[in-house]
Amino acid sequence: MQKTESKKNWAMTAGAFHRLLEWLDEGRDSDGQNFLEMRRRLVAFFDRKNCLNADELADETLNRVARRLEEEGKIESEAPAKYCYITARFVFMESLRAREKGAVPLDDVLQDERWLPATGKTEEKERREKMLECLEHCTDKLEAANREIIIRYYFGEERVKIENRRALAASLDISINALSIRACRIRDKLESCVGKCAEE
Amino acid sequence: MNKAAYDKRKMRAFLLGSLAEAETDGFDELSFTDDRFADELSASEKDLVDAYARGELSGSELESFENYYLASSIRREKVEFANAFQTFAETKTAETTGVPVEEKPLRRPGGFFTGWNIFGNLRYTLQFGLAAAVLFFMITGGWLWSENRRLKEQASETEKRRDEIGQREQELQKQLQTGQTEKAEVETEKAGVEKELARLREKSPKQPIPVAQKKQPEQKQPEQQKKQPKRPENPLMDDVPEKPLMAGVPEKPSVVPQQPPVEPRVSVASVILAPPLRGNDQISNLSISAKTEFVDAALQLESVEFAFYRVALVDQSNRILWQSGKIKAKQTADGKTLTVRFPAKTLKSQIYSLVVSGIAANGAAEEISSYPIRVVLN
Repeated sequence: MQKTESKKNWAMTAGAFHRLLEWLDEGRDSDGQNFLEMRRRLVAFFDRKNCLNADELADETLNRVARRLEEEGKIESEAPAKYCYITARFVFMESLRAREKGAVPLDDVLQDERWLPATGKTEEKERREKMLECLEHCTDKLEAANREIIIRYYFGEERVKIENRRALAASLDISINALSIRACRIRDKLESCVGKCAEE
Repeated sequence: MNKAAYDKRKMRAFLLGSLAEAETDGFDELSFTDDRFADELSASEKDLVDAYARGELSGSELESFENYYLASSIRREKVEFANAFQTFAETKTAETTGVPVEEKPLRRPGGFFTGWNIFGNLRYTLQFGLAAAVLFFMITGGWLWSENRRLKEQASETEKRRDEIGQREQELQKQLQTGQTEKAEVETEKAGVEKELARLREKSPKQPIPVAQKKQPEQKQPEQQKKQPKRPENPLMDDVPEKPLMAGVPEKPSVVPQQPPVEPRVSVASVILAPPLRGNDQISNLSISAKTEFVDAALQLESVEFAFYRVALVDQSNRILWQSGKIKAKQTADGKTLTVRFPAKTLKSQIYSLVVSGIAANGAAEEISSYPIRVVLN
């Protein structure tokens, strides 16, 4: 009983958070990038499962891993990525059970835009204009090389895009796969920047 | 997992929620444990979203995208970003290259989560357009088929009529040829009759032959003539008379009696035909040989109503083989009779008819009787 209550009341401390970062880095200092990447994967996982609160479930997963690390000092049964995946599955199953029981927080439902009426054309237009402004702003913050990569990589229709990518990879002297990964990461940063900018 | 897990199509199916459960669990684990897979999955997702934004998705993929992928607000935001980024990238490229950017309708997150807008949704517009095009082609095709059928029927009728006309033309040609043949035969007969007439005139007994004629070379005389006594000679002639003349008694010129004309031998067959009686199927027979040149036919008339008559020889096909001129009926011991002579060379062993027509005062001919005759060629 006490253990359960202590689990519910547990909160991430700075120490636990650092321990988590080190564990995820596996001895290689990623400056928190591994943590961010793991969180992104967790959000994507819960989002694919159509969970209403993918961000919260991702945070819950990382909390549980951090708590386990603090309680036991180390986790050696699985590699960090796999352990996070296993923990995420448990969290997902719990959320399913909770949904079935009907215990979905009202706030969660209201936050789900499926239940919200469709936005009007004016609102959509304003939102788009805002996004374009943010794109301009966020792209300017990128390095020139990355700016060129992101624009050239994603520009054009199917065939044109393929040719552009081949030419771009050749000009950078990297493989198309490597170019793809690089472009994806730049776009993720851009998307995150635009998302925050649009909410301001 | 092996390299097959990196199949792009399977990744897309995984992102669209259409992969089998076992494979989905495996991909879920890879998305955490395999950095390379995670990167490729992220890239596939961005390409998928860009494809939707450009309207490049279709069929089941489009359906899955709108029904499954867009169910999440996080993913809908990705589509909004993709739309805005497309415009942004094109604008930036146009600024760099100087090529103006075409305004294209961007794809809003669709499916169940936005208002239904037929004109804004390219998919429905295409569907209606396609349906309208199919309907148009069906109607046009149906009309063309019926037109084709009508024209074919018309062509068939025209051809049929053309054949009929062609046949009629041939019949008329035949009749014309028959007419020409008969005309030629009539003219031939006419020439023959004129020739015979001329020959007969040359040998007419009415024309006296003078006594002081030169002694004709001895001709073949019929036996009858040989028995006649010698005629006295002409004293005017140079020849010495056989007997001395009586003195003082002038000789009277004597008229040498004309010898009967020597007729050439002509083979003629004769037949007398009584008027045909109703119910009487008996046909008169006429036997001829290859040497028979003419047939003399005497047609007995029941009554004499016309001043002139015409007789035609007709075969079984009702073809006129010979026709007489205007002839009169003659009174004979058997009553009024029409006598005709027609050539026998073209006759064959078959039944013919001698058709008698009366000629009225105005020249109109009226058929009054037909005399059947069976020719037997020996």
